Amino acid sequence: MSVTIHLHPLLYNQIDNREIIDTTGSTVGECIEQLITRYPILHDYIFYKDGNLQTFVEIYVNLKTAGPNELEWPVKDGDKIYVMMTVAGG
Amino acid sequence: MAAQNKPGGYTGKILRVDLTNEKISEEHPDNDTLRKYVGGTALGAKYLYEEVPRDVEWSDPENRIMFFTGPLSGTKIGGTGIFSVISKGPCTNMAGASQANGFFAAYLKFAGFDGIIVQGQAKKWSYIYIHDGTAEIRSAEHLVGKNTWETEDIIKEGLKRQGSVYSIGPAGENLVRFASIAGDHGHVAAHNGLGAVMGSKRLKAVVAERAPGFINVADPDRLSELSKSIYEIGQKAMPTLSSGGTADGYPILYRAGQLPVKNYTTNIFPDFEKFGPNYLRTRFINTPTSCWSCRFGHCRVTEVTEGPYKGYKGEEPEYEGLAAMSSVIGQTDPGATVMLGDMTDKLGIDVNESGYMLGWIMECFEKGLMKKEDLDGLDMRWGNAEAALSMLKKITYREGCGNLFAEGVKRAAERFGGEAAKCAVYTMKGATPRGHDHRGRWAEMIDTCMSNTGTIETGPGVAIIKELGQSPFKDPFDAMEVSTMNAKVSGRRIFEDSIIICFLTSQDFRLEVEALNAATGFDYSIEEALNVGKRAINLLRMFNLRHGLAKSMEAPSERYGSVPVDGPHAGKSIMPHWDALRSNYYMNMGWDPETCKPLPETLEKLSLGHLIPDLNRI
Repeated sequence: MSVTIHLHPLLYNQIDNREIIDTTGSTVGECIEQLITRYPILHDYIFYKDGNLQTFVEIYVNLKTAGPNELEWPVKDGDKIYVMMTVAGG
Repeated sequence: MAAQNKPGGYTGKILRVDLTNEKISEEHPDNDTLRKYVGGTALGAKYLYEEVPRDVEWSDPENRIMFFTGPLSGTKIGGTGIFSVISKGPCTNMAGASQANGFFAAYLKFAGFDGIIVQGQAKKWSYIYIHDGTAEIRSAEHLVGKNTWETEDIIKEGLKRQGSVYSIGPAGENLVRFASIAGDHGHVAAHNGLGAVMGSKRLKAVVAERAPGFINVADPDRLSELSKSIYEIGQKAMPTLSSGGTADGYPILYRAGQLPVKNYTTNIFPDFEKFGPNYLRTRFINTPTSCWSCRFGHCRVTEVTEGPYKGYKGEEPEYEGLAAMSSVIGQTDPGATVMLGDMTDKLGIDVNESGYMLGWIMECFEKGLMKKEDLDGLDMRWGNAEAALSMLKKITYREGCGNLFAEGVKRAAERFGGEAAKCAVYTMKGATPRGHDHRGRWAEMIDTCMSNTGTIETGPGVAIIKELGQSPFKDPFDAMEVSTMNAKVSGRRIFEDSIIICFLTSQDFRLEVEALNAATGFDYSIEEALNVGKRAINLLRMFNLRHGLAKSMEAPSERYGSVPVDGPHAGKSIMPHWDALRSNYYMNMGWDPETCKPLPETLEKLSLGHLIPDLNRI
């Protein structure tokens, strides 16, 4: 089951501008775990030291907010996960 | 400065309008000044420091109010219709800098000017009309009492070409301390009451009429490429901005425990989904609107289709307006939120301060700390939208109890006194925070309290910028880590408010610096660009010290710094760390931890060495 992860520019800047990463998994958490396995540098940009998602990280699936419990959010073949960062403002 | 020598992106002319003497003149900043201060907030900070001495109060004719563009204004770069308003503001009685988007900066540049400095006080209500390389002071007597939308529409009827009108509403005329400046039907420079400064000068509006032509830049081809890159990066960074607007943040911030609910008394708000785009943008009738050169088009004019305000048409509130007129005041009807948010813009009052004012009054009313007789008979229960509207109008016209509340949350709370005073959300400098619960967002509470402008200054959420050599946050509730990080990233936001660009649609600092170089022909490095922002921060701090800033003012009120009783951050308390984090922030900023003054070496490093003798006089 192929699920793509689309990264925020501040994240893909850390991994030689690889913007879209192919993964497999049935939940957002499983797919992000694969992402982190391949690019461990991203762990500290997405999670706090206690393992929780950073508060300014937003997860979307197919451009819809995946929440609450983002990491348990189910995904299926062809879905697109967006890992984004909040900016202050509005 | 000879016109042929000026850097690209500038007209090279600043308009000075003396309302007392009805005199209009032009000034030409030299290239060194432009390189050092760029434009927008930083350039305004320079003039504010030089021209507004210690004994000048915000309402004094000798106060200045400045409307400044930057070298990117009016170019192809998206979101460069934005401009910065700089003055001594009424809420903090210190420096104020607030930005509004739309078209004004672009049209002002086309009309021939990089900025406007206004001083004095008009004998009669006036507006400034700028067009074709010249300016006029015109009578605004026929506009007195008109709201901001009416004022804009009436003035535009008399323009030859497209124009941008930024005006005050009745709140600014009546010197409400949190009066705003609104224009382009829905864009607002709201923070620190700069609309009241316009009111004190009897200045109803500033008008820029578009003239034919374009902005000369040093390298137009490179700027075009960068425009495309900035847009593409922005789209990747905010893929839902176009479709969802900033309302997209509402449910996200609720789940993160950062949505302010019922004046910071709780973090539980079951109706939160009704204020996200899935509701607002599917049930209401929406028409997209856009700012200068912006391809995101995330703003909307909206028509309410259900509930008591069915048929109401107005600007869709941005996230902070949504929060202020829903969760903050315990109000659950999105239609009422649209109405209240739109009315704050039209009356000309800051929606954030309005929300915290209404929330404070409602909490006090529910707890019996304020009686109906204190409130001119209004039934200020949580969520009573009609009573909220009536109160906003009382404040706007300073009628009855509204005269007290028109002084802003801090001053009203202090004057009302008793237990009620302990419930108010504000900074000790005198402004209210933006529309978040900062007890779950320590970086922004620290920023809000330490800022020199009356609103945020460093802009948290950008702490991972590679260009700044920062490592990511380990713990957002580690007071020392957060205060250190805030100091390290300071400068970027004010740089953006100086070049000046919309930070929502531009997400890459490196590209912003490249765009500045392509426009001007200068060769700023990342470090020099950051120092533009740091220079402005230190200059504004020196201004504030001269106008009464003390270390004790850099703290939250009792309620603002309280401990959440529920929600994701229940029990987390920032105040036990406050003294230590404040000192740590000062030290990382190069400021004296005891006096909060910049150290001489900090000023020297930022090419502000000429201010060192002033340290002993403030």
